[in-house]
Amino acid sequence: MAEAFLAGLTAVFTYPTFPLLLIGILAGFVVGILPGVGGVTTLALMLPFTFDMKPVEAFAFLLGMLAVTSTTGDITSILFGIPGESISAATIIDGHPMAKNGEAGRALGAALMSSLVGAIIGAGVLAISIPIITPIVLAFKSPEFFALALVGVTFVAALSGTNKLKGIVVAGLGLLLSVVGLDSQTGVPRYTLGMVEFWEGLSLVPVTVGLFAIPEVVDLWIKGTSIAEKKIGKIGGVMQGVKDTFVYLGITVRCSLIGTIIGIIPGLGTGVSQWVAYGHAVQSAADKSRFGNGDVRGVLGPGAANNSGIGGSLIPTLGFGIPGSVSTAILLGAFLIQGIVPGPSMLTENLGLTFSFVWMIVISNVITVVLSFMFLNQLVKITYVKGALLLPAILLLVFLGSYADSNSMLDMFMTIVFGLLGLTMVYLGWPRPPLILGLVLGTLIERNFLISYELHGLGLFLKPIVVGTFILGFGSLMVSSYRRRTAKSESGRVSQSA
Amino acid sequence: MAVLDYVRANRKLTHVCCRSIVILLLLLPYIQLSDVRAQGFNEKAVADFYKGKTVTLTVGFDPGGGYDIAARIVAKHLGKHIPGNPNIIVSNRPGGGSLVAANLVYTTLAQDGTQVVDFHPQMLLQQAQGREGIKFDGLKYHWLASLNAGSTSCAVHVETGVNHLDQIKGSGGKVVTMGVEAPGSGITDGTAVIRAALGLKFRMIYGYNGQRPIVNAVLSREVDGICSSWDSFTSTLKNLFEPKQLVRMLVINEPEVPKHPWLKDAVAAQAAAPDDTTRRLLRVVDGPRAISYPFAVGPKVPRDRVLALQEGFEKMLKDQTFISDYEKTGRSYEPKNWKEVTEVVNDLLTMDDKTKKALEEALKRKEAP
Repeated sequence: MAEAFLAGLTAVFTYPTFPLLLIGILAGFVVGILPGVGGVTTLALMLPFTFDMKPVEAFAFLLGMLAVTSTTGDITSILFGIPGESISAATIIDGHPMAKNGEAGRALGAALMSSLVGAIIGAGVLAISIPIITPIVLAFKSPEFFALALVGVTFVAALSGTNKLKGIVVAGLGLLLSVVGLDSQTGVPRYTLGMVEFWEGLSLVPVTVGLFAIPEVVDLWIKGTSIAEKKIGKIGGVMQGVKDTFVYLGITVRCSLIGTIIGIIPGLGTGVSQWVAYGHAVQSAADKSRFGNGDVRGVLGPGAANNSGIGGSLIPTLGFGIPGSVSTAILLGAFLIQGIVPGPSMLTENLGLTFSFVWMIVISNVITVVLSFMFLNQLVKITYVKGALLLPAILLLVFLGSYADSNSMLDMFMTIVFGLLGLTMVYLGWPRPPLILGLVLGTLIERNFLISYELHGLGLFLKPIVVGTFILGFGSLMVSSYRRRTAKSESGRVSQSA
Repeated sequence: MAVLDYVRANRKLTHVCCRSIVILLLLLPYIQLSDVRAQGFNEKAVADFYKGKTVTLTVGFDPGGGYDIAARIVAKHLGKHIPGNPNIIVSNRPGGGSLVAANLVYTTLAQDGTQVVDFHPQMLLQQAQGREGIKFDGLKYHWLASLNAGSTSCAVHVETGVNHLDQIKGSGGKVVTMGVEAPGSGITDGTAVIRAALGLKFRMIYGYNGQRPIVNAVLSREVDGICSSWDSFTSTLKNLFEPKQLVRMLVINEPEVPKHPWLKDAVAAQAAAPDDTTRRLLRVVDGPRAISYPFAVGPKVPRDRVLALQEGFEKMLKDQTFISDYEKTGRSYEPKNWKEVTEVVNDLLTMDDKTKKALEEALKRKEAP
């Protein structure tokens, strides 16, 4: 085993594997920064280039690219409030306010370092868990997916800021929007306005970009200032963000594990885990007052989770050919091209290759973080450029990103529609994240509930994992509520004694 | 009067003459068409048109799936087989299970031979059923080729104890749960028609989001089985059989069972079908699978360019470098040229009322057996 572990490392550094890994990293770096052009799309575009490569070369190229897209995707989320990847949308909530507060460097440092920690934890879990993971993955069926998604909705409380009722209403709107498209049971179009384009539901990219980026653009335009509204000295720097990762190591590690576990379970994916991780970061904090206004813990949580998911989603893909996400489904295609059948052979004749995946994820993240740190101080300076000069470039990124998702003008229109909705919500003080959570989880809840009900009737609520998940979700809500009350009463006592 | 007298006297001969004239008139357009095909096309004019131009392959799905990868391989090889050697690029227009792309190329994009569509042929079956949202006519599309063919095959988990189709037939037959998508997909329609045609005790569990989630459900024993393309079983779903056999193939929608070790206990659906209508129904439902990864251009594309593209595709289908690249995807290579694809499409879209009614009946959602 140890020999294979080292052989995997050696294989990564051989020629031409390592140069291919570097090319992949470079492509992933650029793609991660460009909104809309996602890691999944690029992975698909690059797949035909791997036809003539050896397995280790092909995967170095592809994994190098995939492993860094979520890391660099956080950069535009923080700097401009535009998610570079749909999986880095949750980073905006606290990352962009930090940039406005003059703490862009700190936010970027925290996002990058937590991404590295997340990637290492995800890769570590991948290294140790392949032999034992099969029964765990197979234990998750429709009722369990339904329960997980339903408990995920309870994170609305954490994503709602001070007004929980508004959060619940917005999440309800998200759930309502999730029913747009063909009904999964009957195939009948619902709320599609007679347009075939809506048959597969609302696309997440224009919704997210519109909801989060457009209000920021308008805000920048009206204020006429730079993104950063104030300058902070050293504390706003990159190294502070790096230190924060270790000051709040508990949050980083727990959110990495959340990302890994959700990544392992096929069908959930990083789109969900980033929000769950953010929700956990908020719920587990005693003082929640700064969340939404630039709390570094709100950057560490999703930053760690969106990177650890890659290692997690590779586990069922390698273990028994079940891809945990869309990107690993494409990687599965690469396996077929290379003539490799995922399964037990990945632990016997292909063990060296399996371990090389672990090393590829770790090494590409280390390289990306080191490279990013070299440029971060320059990137931070963007936040001090006058808004009028930045706006054309930001608008280009916003609409290019929306269009590139499915080459459709309709998506650009949808960005404007959701941009207006986002603006209204900001103006009226309504939280936006619960809408995304409702939209992402709504489809999972409905689909899995209907399948479960068809198979088990109401007995679906008696399944052990379902009961356990509900208890865990309810318990977590209670603990969070208890902590908040204790914090309130303590602060009341302090003010009374003062 | 003399003519009328002659007609009355030679009624039989007159009938034969009249019929011949009508048949000749009906055949005239085809005679002209075959004449043009025999003459070929104006290669210089076509080359002048395509030189320096870009031909777009509009794929109806997101990047990364089978349709997208097939189109990217075609894009790599097709240009050299078309006069003028145009650049070929791929553009993804996902939506509506590829209906967006099929409608777009038919109704909106340029009809000059620079826009080729690659959409799911299941849309043709939906056209035949008159489903909403379809703005194209498959009979009018100019078909260029298809790359793959498959037949619906059904497998159940070995732990169900079902080894043969007879165990899930008739009043005493065992009920097996089959995971399917929403109505209208190839998996769902294929499962429903095989169930109806052979009287199988399939309890269909609707709502899964594609083939992979159903396979996961089979592996986790949430459902008992899945019907999918035989080609999928031998490529992307190989891990269901190797290194350990996890499922057993029960039926394949073919006139006879192909020789393959995984099919040794399987039944050929078309051979087991009780009558001709049922056999026709089985053929119709798998029509789309017979022309997987098809390519077509809009109905108003000039004939010269259609012929050039058809010939280009035909040459590419025989190009060893193309075949080698395609086979690396793990999919079996069973190409059809434009004539064969057109035949399948015509067969599918001109089904008789009896078959149409049988199809409607088979696809109706039924209570669990």
